[in-house]
Amino acid sequence: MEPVIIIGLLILGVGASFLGSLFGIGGGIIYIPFLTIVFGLSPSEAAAISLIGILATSAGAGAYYAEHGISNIRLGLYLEIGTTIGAIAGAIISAYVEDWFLSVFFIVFMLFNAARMAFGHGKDCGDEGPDHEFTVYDPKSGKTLGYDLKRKGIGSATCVVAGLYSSMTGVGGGVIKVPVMNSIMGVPMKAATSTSSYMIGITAFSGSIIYLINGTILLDYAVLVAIGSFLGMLVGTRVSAHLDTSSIKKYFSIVLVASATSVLLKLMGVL
Amino acid sequence: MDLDKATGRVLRYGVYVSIVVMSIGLFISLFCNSVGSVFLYAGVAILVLTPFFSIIASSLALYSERDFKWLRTSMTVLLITIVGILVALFI
Repeated sequence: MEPVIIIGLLILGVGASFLGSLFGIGGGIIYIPFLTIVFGLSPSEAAAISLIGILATSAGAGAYYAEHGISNIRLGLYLEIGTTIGAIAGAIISAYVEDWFLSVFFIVFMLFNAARMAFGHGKDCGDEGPDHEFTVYDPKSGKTLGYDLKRKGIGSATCVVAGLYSSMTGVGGGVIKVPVMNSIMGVPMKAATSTSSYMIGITAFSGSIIYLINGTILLDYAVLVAIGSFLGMLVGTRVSAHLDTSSIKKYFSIVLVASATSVLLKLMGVL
Repeated sequence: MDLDKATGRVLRYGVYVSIVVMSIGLFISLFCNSVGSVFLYAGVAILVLTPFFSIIASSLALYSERDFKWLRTSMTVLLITIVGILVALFI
């Protein structure tokens, strides 16, 4: 493999994973455009490698946030019931669907993601009162917030969609999961993003296990992306506690629109 | 053991081991591609299976904490992921 490609894949892994760890996403929305446009892979080849990359990010970030008591494992497992069902269904559907459909599906997801980041506002959830089912400590404000889970049914149902998207496009679905937890279910933002990071690994497992057993993963690509992801995650998780991500998000959404446009142009044969 | 610690540890060790195996695979690939590929595949397999093992660890931790309400939840996820593995094997 050419050194340029090797270095390129490592840098891609580091960058996507760093941003992913910050925002509670896996980084698939960065992997897919780069892997298809810059590295010239097909949507399904790219999806397989992206899932490996986000799995590395998620497992590492999930471990960090779990061990620091920020992510809510119980909540994550609960929502993963629906997500995993969606992921398995999505993996089966992908086998029978044309590549261009997967690209369109991804573009829609990206634009939704961009809008979410540009206009979405983290909801302040939880309070310092007693008698809450869960608590999370926010290192920036120094407060311990207690919260309860609301609208669990809607949360679960929406996560099925997140699972579908994950397997079909190679994203983690965090951009659906975080607002679902925060805006709909009443989970404080820090707990929502860290729980999402944890969840993505399980979702990505359900998608990537099929690629793994079928042997259709480009091994050297996957390994380089995974190693890069690991390094990016190490930095991203540690930086996340100190960063106010809301301003970065607005600029990030511009990047996403640009990415969605480039994928669309590639789909149309222009790129 | 505490749910958060148990889950976190399995995830952490799984990732570390897989990265080490992958790195060994990359190194060996410089000399012998076929042997290197075995390590690369093994490393990816370990990484992919890590979240699956974390669900098992979470279930064991919930059981040891006698948290049966959420144990039901984790066992349900475990069951569904096993179905996913079977689908992968037979699709």
